[in-house]
Amino acid sequence: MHTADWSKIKEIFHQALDLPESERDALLSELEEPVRREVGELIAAHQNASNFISESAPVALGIGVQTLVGTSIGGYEILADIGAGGMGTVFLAKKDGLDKRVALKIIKRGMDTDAVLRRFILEREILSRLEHPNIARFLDGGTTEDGLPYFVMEYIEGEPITRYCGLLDLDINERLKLFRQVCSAVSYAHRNLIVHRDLKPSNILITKDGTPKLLDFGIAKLLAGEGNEETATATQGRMFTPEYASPEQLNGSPITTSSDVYSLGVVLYEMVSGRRPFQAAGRNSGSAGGRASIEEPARPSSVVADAWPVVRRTSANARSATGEIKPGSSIRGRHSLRGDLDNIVLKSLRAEPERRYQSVQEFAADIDRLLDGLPVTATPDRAFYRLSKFVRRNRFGTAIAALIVLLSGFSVWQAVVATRERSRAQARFEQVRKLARAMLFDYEDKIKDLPGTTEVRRQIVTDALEYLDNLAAQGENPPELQREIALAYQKVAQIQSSRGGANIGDASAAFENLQKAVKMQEALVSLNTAEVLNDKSTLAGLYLDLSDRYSVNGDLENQEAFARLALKLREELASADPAEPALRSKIASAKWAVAFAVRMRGDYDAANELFLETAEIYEKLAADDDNGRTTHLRNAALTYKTYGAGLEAKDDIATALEYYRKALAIDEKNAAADSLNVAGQLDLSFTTSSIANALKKQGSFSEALRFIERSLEIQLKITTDDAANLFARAAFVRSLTAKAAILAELGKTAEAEADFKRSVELAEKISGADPQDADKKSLLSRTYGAIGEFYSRPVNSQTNPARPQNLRLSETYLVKGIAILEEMQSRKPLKRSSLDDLERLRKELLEVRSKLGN
Amino acid sequence: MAREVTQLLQDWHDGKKDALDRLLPIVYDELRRVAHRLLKNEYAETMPTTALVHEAYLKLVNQHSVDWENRGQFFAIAAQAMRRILVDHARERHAQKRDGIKVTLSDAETMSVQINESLLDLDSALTELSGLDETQSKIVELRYFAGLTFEETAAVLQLSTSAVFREWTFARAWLYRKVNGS
Repeated sequence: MHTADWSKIKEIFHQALDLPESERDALLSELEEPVRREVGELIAAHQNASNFISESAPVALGIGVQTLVGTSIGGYEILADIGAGGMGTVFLAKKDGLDKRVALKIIKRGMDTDAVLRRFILEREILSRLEHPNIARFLDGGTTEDGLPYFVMEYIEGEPITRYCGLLDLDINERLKLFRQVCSAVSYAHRNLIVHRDLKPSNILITKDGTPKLLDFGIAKLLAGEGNEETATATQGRMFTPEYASPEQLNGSPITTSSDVYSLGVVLYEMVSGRRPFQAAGRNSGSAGGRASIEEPARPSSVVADAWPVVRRTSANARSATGEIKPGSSIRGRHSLRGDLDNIVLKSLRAEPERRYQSVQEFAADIDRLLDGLPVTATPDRAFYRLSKFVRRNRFGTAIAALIVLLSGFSVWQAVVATRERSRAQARFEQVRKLARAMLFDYEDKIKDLPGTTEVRRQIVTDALEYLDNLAAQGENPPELQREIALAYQKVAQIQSSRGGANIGDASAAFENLQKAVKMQEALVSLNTAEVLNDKSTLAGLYLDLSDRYSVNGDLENQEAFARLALKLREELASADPAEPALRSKIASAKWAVAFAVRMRGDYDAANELFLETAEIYEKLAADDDNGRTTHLRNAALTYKTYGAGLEAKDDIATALEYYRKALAIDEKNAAADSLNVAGQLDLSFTTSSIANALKKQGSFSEALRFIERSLEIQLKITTDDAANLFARAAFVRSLTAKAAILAELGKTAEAEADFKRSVELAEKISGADPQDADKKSLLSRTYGAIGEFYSRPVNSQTNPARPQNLRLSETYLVKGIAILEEMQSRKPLKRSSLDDLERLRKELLEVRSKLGN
Repeated sequence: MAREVTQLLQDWHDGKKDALDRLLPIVYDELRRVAHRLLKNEYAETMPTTALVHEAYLKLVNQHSVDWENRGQFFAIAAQAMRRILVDHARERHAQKRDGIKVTLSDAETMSVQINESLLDLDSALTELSGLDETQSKIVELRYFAGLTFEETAAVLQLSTSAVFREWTFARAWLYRKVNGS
């Protein structure tokens, strides 16, 4: 092919595909050869290629499917593969340490496209909402380390309902009673606005003790979902089982609960006759769907005579093995069972949904009447309908169809309106819930560490909050929902305040939302549900977040109190399994928070001890726990740095440097491994800053300058990529101030002055963006203080006194810095470091003023 | 895990052919895991697995000093390596058959052989495609040989998902015609 034609062929190929098939020829005919022929052939190839290389080579060769058997997912040991559906695999599993068997369903690897994930999560949600003795119970759900969602259900050991009837040779009476229980489960699902859409014997298992259990809501539909659900339906369009599907399902028409009525009818047909409706001998079941919309199936009693393969009985007094159904005494009555049962089954199988039972409940009620020997509502198809069917089949006209609707329609219409109102309220609620969740957890997670996304994240939070407040305001919410809302508030608060990652800076709102989350979570814990351990664990995390928030607000007392609460709760939780890495790492992070708080209030010795304990936990974890090694190392580095800072504060600079360098080695390795990740890069830049400051205290100014320049380089890159990342910008300002101070020590006064001025400018901007944030305020005060101290210094040599104009500048900046700290102090007690700052600045100001006075 | 991979690689180099059969699922699984996390940007936990796959592929493709400029390059090379391994594997099987070495096959293996044969055709078609459209051949490599989803492929190549889908559609039609003859 000529490469010059390549892009043209591509373009026209796509143009043609966008057109309906009937119009493609017209487009092609306008083209010249050889492009016309090329595009024509490619489109033909395209139409045949839908399965071509659709499965990746490794999967096709079977090397991509590493079995999960023998591994552990979310604390469940995977015992055996017990089946695979279209998108999920079901495993037999058991909770570690327990004997009880459960079924764990997980998305197949490679199937985790967005659409399938949504579907799967919907199934999980649906199941978790259904609690009924005849529906396989939802037990647990979660996400694997790779982000694949899974859920755990009651493990049902049983036989498909039709097989069970045959194996136990149940009589009609027993069969109907069994079916009746199935109806109650389906009806329950319908009341919860869920249509199963795949009812068939293999999804209705009967356990050893004879209890029917409904399974597999994999393609179930939420009636409440309006717009977006339809696309999901379209993508899942062919996943139902044709033999049991309703005509409207086969046609792709809208699905209602009536579709389940039909499928139940097929199951019942098979249960009482041993055959499926259109499955007479020699006929191909593949066309059943097509016929179902124009033909009525044979009466069950008429096919049972030559079939009934499931009923075999050897004892002499049994009912005839193949013959007509002889009912047990309880259903023998004046009404011919044969006629009534036929009518019931056929009514459920009518092609037009509106002519079937209007609900599963109605269907079941008719069966009850049959069992009780009362007259049933189902009657044979009336001539009127046969006529109308004939009319429709022969396309005579919409006029007659309209007349039929007028005659029979009014009450149906009213019922529809009532259901719709209820559905709409439910739909709104579900939409809000899903939207808030998707926004916070899906979108936000995807973009949080990417540079340049701060603005989008702010918008996400604003929108999600509105939804959340709406949800919370609905009052009496079930525990699962409360859990979800609490989690969402926490997430919002984290997004509003995250200190290491990209930060969108709204401290007071973060505090407020976090308190909401804590309140809800405490209420949940006090409910003491089956989930109480998880609830407690969540609560501990919230306490830590809150402690952190208090620290930002300068409330030292609460900072320490909540950190200790979290530590206590986590130690209590870990006592059950002291070796578990996740629990150990949680204890370490709580301990770190306590240590930090203790040091904030000035008890360096106690704090240092706690830090060393923390570092020890992390180092051990890094050695024991392969999976989390990087994280543990990062945490160890952080702890070493913090520990070093404690030593530095006590003027043990040499030892402090030793620990800083330990941290540096770890951070450098991590940062080199991933140059795009903001947190890892920031880690490194903070470590080099710490080293620079310590070196400066030691008097090693040139070496200090090298390290601080490295910090600046990293932080500049981050802020260039994402100008709205306030955290990184604040870090940059601190480093710039530090560099200026080092330059001043090296006697490079002009350069130092320029850098100081620039850092003041930047600090003012940052603080202006978030005036309530204590961190930003102390940044500004410290920057003012630093430049103030600079201007008060003797110029160029130790002997020349500072110039008067510099002293006046110094005075101005010092006053500004002090004012900020005093304002902060008037609200809340200051952090120890800020108190030190305040003291130092006041002293400096006194000196400057005395020099000016001279 | 890392130890196991290293050992298997060693075994494979030492001529134990079945080591490769055990190695590929692990490497492929790792690749998928890393790809998945690439989208989620879970830096903290990605690092060790990325390093592991780096190590595995470095040895597999025998390129000792590759400057991994970015992840896109990594995946491109990983997918190429996967392609090379599978195609070599298929060629070997093909040669065994041609040379009359008796291979007893289970059903699953028979299927694999079929795929293996079409793999050789696909490989040469794909080589031709790369001369015409580099991006398309990369997309096919990433999706077909490395098993990446559309979203992941888009992230790796820094294209939009819809662009990847369009190019894929065209490439698939083109390859289909090439392989099946028109």
